[in-house]
Amino acid sequence: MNMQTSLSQEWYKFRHQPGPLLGLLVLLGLMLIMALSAPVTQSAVVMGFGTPQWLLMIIVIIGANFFIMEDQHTTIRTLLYRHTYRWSIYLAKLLILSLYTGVLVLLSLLFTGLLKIVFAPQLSWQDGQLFSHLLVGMAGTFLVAILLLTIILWLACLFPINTVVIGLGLILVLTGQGIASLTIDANPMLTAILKWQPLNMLNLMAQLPDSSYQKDTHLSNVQLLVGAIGYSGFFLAIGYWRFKHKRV
Amino acid sequence: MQAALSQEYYKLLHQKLTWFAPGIIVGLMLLMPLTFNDPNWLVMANFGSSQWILLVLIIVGATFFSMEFQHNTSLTLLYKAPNRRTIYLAKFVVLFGYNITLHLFALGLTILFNTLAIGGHANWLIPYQYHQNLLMNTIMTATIDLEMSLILIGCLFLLTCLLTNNAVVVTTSIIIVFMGQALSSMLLHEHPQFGSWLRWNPFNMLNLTFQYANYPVYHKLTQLTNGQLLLGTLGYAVLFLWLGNWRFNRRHF
Repeated sequence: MNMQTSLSQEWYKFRHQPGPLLGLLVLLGLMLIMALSAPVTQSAVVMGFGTPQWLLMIIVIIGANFFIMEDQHTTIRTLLYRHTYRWSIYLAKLLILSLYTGVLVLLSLLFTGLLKIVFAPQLSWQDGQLFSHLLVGMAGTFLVAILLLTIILWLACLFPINTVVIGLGLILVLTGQGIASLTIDANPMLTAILKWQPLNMLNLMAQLPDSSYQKDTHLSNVQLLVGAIGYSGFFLAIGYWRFKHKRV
Repeated sequence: MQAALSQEYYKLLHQKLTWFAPGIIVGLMLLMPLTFNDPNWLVMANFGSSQWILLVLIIVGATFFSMEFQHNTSLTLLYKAPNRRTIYLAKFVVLFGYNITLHLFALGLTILFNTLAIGGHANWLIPYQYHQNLLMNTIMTATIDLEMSLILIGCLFLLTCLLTNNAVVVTTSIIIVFMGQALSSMLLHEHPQFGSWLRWNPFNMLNLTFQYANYPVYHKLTQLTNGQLLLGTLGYAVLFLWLGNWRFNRRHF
C-alpha cells in the first residue's frame, strides 16, 4: 500500500480519538488562565501567554499515546502485515502529528492576538516589533515541537509503554533547557562541543524573539535552526531504524 | 496477604523498567554539583536526589498500577483475591519497598560521590545543622524525604484509581512535582489574609525535604515548622491513600 492510504488510515485513527480536541481546548484554557492571572505585559504577549511550554507538553502526551496505543492493543500487527513498507506507516504518523502541531500553533497564535486585543488594547503591535517577535517565537515553537516529536517517536519505539515515554518527554520539556545551560557552562574547555547537544536546540523558541539568550546557548539563531532541523532528521532516522527492526 | 505481596513483588521485579529507571537518578544527581559548590550542603541534600526519586516513583508506580487495568489482568487478580483492600495494600507496600530501595541507593551514591570528591570533599564528622554532624544530617534528610514521598505515592494511587487514562495520571503527577511548590507559594503570596489556612495546602508539604536542608529560606515560604510539615505530610498521605482505596473498592473493571 502506498503513502496515501497510510495517511488516510492514520488520519482516520487520529480523528476518532478524543485526545487531540481535548489537547487543543486545554491549551487555549491554560492560555486564558495565564492571561487572567497576571497583568498582560508585552513579554506575556510575545511568549503567547506561555504557549511554548504548554504546547510542547500536550504534544508529548498526544504523540506518545497515538503511537503507543496501537502497540498496546496489538493492532499494529495487522497494520504491519498489510503494508509492504514500514516507512510509510512511520512517516504517515509523524506527518499527521506535525500537521496537528501546526494547527495548534496557528490557533494559539490567533488566540494570543484575540487575548491581546481584549485584555491589553493599549499595547501596539508595532511597539518593539511585538508582532514579528510573536511570529518568529511561534515559528520556533513549531520547529522545536517537531524535534520533540521525532524524539518521542524514537523513545516510543525503544520503550513501548506510554507512561514511560510521557514521563521522559515531560522531564525533557520541563528541565531540558536548564540541563543544557548547566552542562555547557560547567566546563569552559568543552563548551565548543557541548553547545551542539540536542537539549540546547530546545532554546530555539526562546532565542528567536529574544536574542539575550545567546549568551546561554552560545549559538547564533541560524546555528540553532540548523541544529534543530539536523537533530530532527537524526532522531527520525534512528527512530525509523528501530521501528523497522522491531518485533511486534 | 502474603500471597498478594509475593505476586506484586514478582510483577514489579520482572518489569525491566524497575531496574533501568534508577539510572535517571544517577545522571541527574551528577548534575547537581554544577549548580551548587558547597560540598557540605550537597552531601546533606543527597545531591538533590529528592525530586528525581519522585519522578522515578511516578513513572514506575503509574506503569506498575495502570498496566494491569489496560491489559485487563486486574480482573483475574480481583477474582482470585480475598478482597480488594488486600490487593491495594500489597501494591502500596511493594511500591513503598521500592521507594526505600531508591532512597538507600541515593544515600549510597551520595557516600560514593563524596568519597570520590565529586563537587568537593566534605568531612562526615563536622558539626553541621541542627547541632548534629553531617553524616546524621544526611541520613535524616533521606529519612524525611522518604516520608515526603509518601504524599506523592498517595496522590499517585488516588489519581490512578480515580482516572481511567494513565497518560493523565502521569502528567498530573509530574506537573505536581515540578510546579506544586511554586503554586503553593503563589497562593500564600497572593492571599496573605488566608495564610493561616492556606499554608496547610497539600502542595506546601512538598517543601518538607528542602526546608529540612535549608530552614531559613524555606521557612519564610512555607510558614510552617519542620514538625508541622511532617505532620501535614503524613496526614495528607493517609487521606489520599484512604480515598484511593475507597475509590478502588468501588471501581468497575
